Amino acid sequence: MTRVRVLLSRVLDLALGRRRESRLSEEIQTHLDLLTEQHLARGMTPDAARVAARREFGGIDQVKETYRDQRGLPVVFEPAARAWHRHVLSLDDLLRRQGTVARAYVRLFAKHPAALARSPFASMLHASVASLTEERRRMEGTVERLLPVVRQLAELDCATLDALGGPLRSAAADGGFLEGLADFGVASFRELAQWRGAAPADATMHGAPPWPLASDAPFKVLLWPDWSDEGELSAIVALADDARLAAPPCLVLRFERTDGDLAAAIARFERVCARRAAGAPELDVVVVDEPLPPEAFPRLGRAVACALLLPSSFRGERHRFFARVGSSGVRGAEDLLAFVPAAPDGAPRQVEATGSGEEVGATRVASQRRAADFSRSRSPA
Amino acid sequence: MSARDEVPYGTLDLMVLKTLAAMGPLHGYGIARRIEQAANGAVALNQGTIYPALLRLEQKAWISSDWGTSENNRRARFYTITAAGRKQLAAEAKLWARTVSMVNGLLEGES
Repeated sequence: MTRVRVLLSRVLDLALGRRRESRLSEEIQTHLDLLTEQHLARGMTPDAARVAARREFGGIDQVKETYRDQRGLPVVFEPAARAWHRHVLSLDDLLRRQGTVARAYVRLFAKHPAALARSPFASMLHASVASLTEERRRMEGTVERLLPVVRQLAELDCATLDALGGPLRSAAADGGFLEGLADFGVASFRELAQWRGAAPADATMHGAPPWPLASDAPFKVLLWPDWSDEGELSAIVALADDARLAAPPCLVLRFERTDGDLAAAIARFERVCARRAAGAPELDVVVVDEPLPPEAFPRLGRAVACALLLPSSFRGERHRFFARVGSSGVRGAEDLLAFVPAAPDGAPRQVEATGSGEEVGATRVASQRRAADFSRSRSPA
Repeated sequence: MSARDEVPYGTLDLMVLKTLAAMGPLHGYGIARRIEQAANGAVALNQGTIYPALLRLEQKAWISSDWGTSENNRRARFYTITAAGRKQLAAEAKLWARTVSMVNGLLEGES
């Protein structure tokens, strides 16, 4: 009888979904207000009382998530069921578009971050391998064309990369921005790692399985050139934080398409990083400006690899990089500027590097450690 | 063992039912406070976990709820134990006592 009641109640919840949500939100708010008042009555300051109330209440998102999981029909609302649902839909979608599966999973994890730690995630990942492989297969044409170039790239030092401009340009023009950027970036990072004697290096990219990062390589890179909002960014960071990776890879992310404001993008990183678990290792992040024309890829790959800031000679725009959120991992402007090449005509280029906190203001920096101030403008000799 | 233990798994529903049976209609905050008081500080309750438990109990029709006004004149959802809930509480209390007695007997026998 009780099971029937629960089932009926869950069916009813399908119709009352939003009302239930707003009811819970109101109850939580009342609860927090009452807890805050209790602490105020004990003599706490308003800020301290609010913080104490939040602490005693526990994770609001977790409560809402658990509450949501208990409502509706399990086949519709269980994270694993949702994952499978999206997975099947995505397979169909793959016939029309690339990247759907990865985005679907990212959205799923953004909405259900707890799923990453649960057993359904493991099985879902197995399921997703087929999708990702399919996506990869669809990209193989491009990859095949790029491979000879990439192999060459691995044998070259940075100073001669520009010589590859021609073949890279033609290959990238066919592959599109994402594929071109990812492949050039991966190749360049490998090249850099070898060049700096940090080999072995591992790299993977958006849409490809993250398994290569589950290694002991001291230099790992996760390229994710396409993300849309803070939720998706949180999911990407969660992937980088996956305990199975031993150490987080360096994240290379494209600047948000919808937001041309670097300070806002940095603030988003700060917020996401502030939500990471206490004691989480420092996270290397490089943000790359976009849009960039295909002819920019060779330069971009090299620049990403060196975590450099270099002036664009393509649209009169500067490429900006924000490296090592919340730490002084980039060794400073001098270190960066040393890699900046001279313009073809031999004239010095104006270069500017930016670090955590400078554009968002000291009070808005949430990271435990602020980047060294390497913001300056100068002309390399 | 830590000074404040987590709520033993599976016992929160029983605690909520017992609180509502003893105290009458209460809102979520009141239930959480009462459980903490009754535990005399020995239990570390993440108060937010009360709400999924309340939903669970309501789905089973062991409690019902309605909007009301709190002692501080706030709109709050008040929960009341139902007749079915009282029956369930009696059954679970018996089961709990039997379980505790059995485990105690086992532990004493082992020592």
